[in-house]
Amino acid sequence: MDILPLLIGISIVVAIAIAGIFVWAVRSGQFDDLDTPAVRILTDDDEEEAPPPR
Amino acid sequence: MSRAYGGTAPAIEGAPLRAAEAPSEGAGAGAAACHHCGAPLGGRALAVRVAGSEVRVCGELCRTAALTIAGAGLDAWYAIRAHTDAAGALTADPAFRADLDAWRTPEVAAPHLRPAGRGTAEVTLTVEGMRCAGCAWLVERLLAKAPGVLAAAVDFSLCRAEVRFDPGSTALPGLLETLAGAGYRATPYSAPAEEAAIEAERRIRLRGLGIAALFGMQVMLLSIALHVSGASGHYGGMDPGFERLFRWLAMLLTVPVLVWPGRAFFTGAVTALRGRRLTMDVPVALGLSIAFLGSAFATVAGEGEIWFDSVVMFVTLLGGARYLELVARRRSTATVRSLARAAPLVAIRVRRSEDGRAGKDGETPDAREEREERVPAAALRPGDRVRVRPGETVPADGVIRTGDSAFDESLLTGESRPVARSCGGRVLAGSVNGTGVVEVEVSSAGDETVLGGVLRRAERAARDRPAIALLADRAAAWFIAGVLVLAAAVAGAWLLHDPSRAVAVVVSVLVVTCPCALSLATPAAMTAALGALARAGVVATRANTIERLALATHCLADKTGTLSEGRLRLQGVSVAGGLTAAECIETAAALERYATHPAGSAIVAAAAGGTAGGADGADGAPRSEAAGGGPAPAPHHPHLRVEEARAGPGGVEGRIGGLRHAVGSAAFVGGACRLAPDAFARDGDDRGTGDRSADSEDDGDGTSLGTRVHLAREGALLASFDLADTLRPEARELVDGLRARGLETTIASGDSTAPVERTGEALGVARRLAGLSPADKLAEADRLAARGERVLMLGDGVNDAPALAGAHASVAMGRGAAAAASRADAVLLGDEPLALLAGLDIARRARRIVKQNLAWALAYNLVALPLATLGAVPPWAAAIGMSLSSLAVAANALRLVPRQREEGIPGPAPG
Repeated sequence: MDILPLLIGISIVVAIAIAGIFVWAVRSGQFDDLDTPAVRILTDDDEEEAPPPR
Repeated sequence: MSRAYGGTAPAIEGAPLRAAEAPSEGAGAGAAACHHCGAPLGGRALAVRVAGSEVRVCGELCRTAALTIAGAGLDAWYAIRAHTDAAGALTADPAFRADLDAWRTPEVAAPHLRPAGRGTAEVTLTVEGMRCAGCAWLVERLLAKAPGVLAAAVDFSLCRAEVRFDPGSTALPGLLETLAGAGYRATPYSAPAEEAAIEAERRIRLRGLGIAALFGMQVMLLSIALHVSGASGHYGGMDPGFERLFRWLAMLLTVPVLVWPGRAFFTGAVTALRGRRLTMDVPVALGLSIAFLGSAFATVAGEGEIWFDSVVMFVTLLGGARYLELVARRRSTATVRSLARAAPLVAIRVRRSEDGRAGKDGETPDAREEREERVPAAALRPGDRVRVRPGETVPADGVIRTGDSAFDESLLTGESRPVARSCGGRVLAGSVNGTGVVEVEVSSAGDETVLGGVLRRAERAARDRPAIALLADRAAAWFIAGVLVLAAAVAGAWLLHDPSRAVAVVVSVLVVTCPCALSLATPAAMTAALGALARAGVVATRANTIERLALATHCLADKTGTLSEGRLRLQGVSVAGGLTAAECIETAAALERYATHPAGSAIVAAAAGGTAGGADGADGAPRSEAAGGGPAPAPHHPHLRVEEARAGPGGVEGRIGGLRHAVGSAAFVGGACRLAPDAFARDGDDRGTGDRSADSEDDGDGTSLGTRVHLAREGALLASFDLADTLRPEARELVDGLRARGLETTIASGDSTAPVERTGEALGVARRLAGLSPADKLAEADRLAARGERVLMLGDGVNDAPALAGAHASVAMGRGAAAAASRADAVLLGDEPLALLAGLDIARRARRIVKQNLAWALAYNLVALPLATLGAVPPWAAAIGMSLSSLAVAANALRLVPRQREEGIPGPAPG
């Protein structure tokens, strides 16, 4: 059971790290538009197949 | 406006086109469909070489679109698009050309451009017509590949595009034209400060939600351990040292949740109390404080219950519900703003050298030195002279001083036919100039115009309405007061009975009565419903749209532009000479290219569309060229070269193959081609179409739904064209569908009696009112409301705006006036009236689900509250019960989300 305090400490550190990353992600606009990227990824491969426009 | 085809699409000019096109007579086209718009190929088809293979398109407009797409290397669009869309018509739409011209004026465009460093500029465009994944992709690529564009990103859900470009090598109108070439109408957009504020708040709340959830999970872990094996738990046996540690850790982890995401509840409660109001924040803040302080006390004292888990769960779930609500609100307001596109009203002000004669003497001004300048319409003052070209919108009320023209006032009055005005006639701001160049002396501008007055009336009607919403607020305040009184009574009773459990019971009562499920019940269902509505083509613009739509019992429908198409279409051709109908249309179209009368546009559109019926969809949009400005475009057929073309009042005349031809009103054609007056009458008999010809005989009287235009060669009448504002093909289905859903329809139109009567008969609508002013329409809506009907107003014009704002529920057509769209509860995208039926169904389903949710939440509260009052529910159970009921409510709401979209995006383009 001696491991418990260590594990709790680690979990709290991890939680704080995740919170930090989340705050950064929100601040940098990662969550601003959740619909378009889903649409965009479907068609990105076409670039290789289609002849270059010029 | 002028030289429409010169600058159709920069994308084409920028890319080396392998595509070569050759007109062909399309005789063997058979049942094939247009490569671009999918319409069946009629009499004529054009062959276009796209990416090495030859395809057929149905007309010049579709060819333009196909070439634009091919030229930018975007052929795959055809493979991924889920529906057909006749695109090219937009580049030739006179209104769009006028807008483009306006955006060329630096003063108009500048406010929308943001400097983005290193000499680049940024602009936000709202893009109309993006309906599927393929559209979003295409718009992004078209923009990214346009010359001078550095970066482009599309926001599909808001129908917007962010573009960074180099102002040195491209300009705003170039970007708009690039998109227009593929059928997307884009408008620069500047987010008002309000929207930026909502966006900032959304980020703050999302951040808070994440923090609350993360720390809440930690607290929950510790609490579960305590519940299971703590001193007060079921199994016991936890080391007292660990128990103390766990309790302290739980408290420390709860603090950030309270001070960061939880702060909103406390500030909200303080603001409400300062304003002597009771909002939901008050009991929430009270419950949170009592629970936290009680738990903290127990932690420090080392004995007693703690409820930190309830505190964090409370903050997280409530925060989640409010976040959902905010997102729904943000999306709907943003959509409305996008729709109410900034009308780039630019006026051409004419200034004359001050030689003492300038002014209101009305003399021919040509002799004097004059200067044209472009000014924003808002800068006009009474007395200014403005020049209005065909296709442009009149910027202010005024009196015509030179020239004469026909004006389309349908958005203002509902009158479906253009109104002729000549020197000395009054014109109204917002009407569209049809035929000739006129010079107008401004009598009133800005808010003082008739248009401004109608908009003010709409404003007032909108202000009068929200009485019901206030009522709901007051009811909520009573409910909260009741909860607080109950909590106080319970606290008093338990303090007398068993002081050690008083805090726990009060917290339970406050948590149980927290209308978490109750407050989640509506926003969750609404969010899901709004998404479903948007997918059906209905954009809700207000929070209570769904409830209003679901409850409507009577539909008050505008005619022009709503039940009818709102523009003239070629209805029929009666041939009098030796030519076929198709040849007559070609000939007339060749002449009409020199005019911009709406009737001419209809014939040109019919010729371009290839079928006498005027084709379908956006493909038949009127096209026009500036009268007398620049070189005339080449007609389809080289042998139809028009010489000495001259547009006069009532028609166009010119020489084709050496013979004088004229197209226009009976009087004009008769005069130009020296026809006997009875030539037209005989034609009517020849056709033998009985009553129809009788009442459309005279194109000047008010009994006809449309107008009649004649084509003649020197000394002989060739053909007569019937032009009319046609009913939308879906109108009948719409009225029947409404009836099936229990909504009777009344037609309320500003148009004259005959067309309204005919429309009513065709649609089977018994109640029809003609000649209504905007105020009359609002009065009619009120009268129906007084009879106990809940009125659903369906309209498109500025003249509908007051009724739209004042009716119980209102729906505007997406292509209608911005003033109408911004006042309606919902807007039909894509101009498809049938979307209203789908919208009604969704709204009714949503209302049913909201009711179920409320019933569930209420039942839960009714069962849990007495138990909590009696102390049978520990706070943690109250919190778990609350979250379960919230989950049930959210899951129920999710039933509204449509199943996997059936758009069926196929894989990469074949080959």
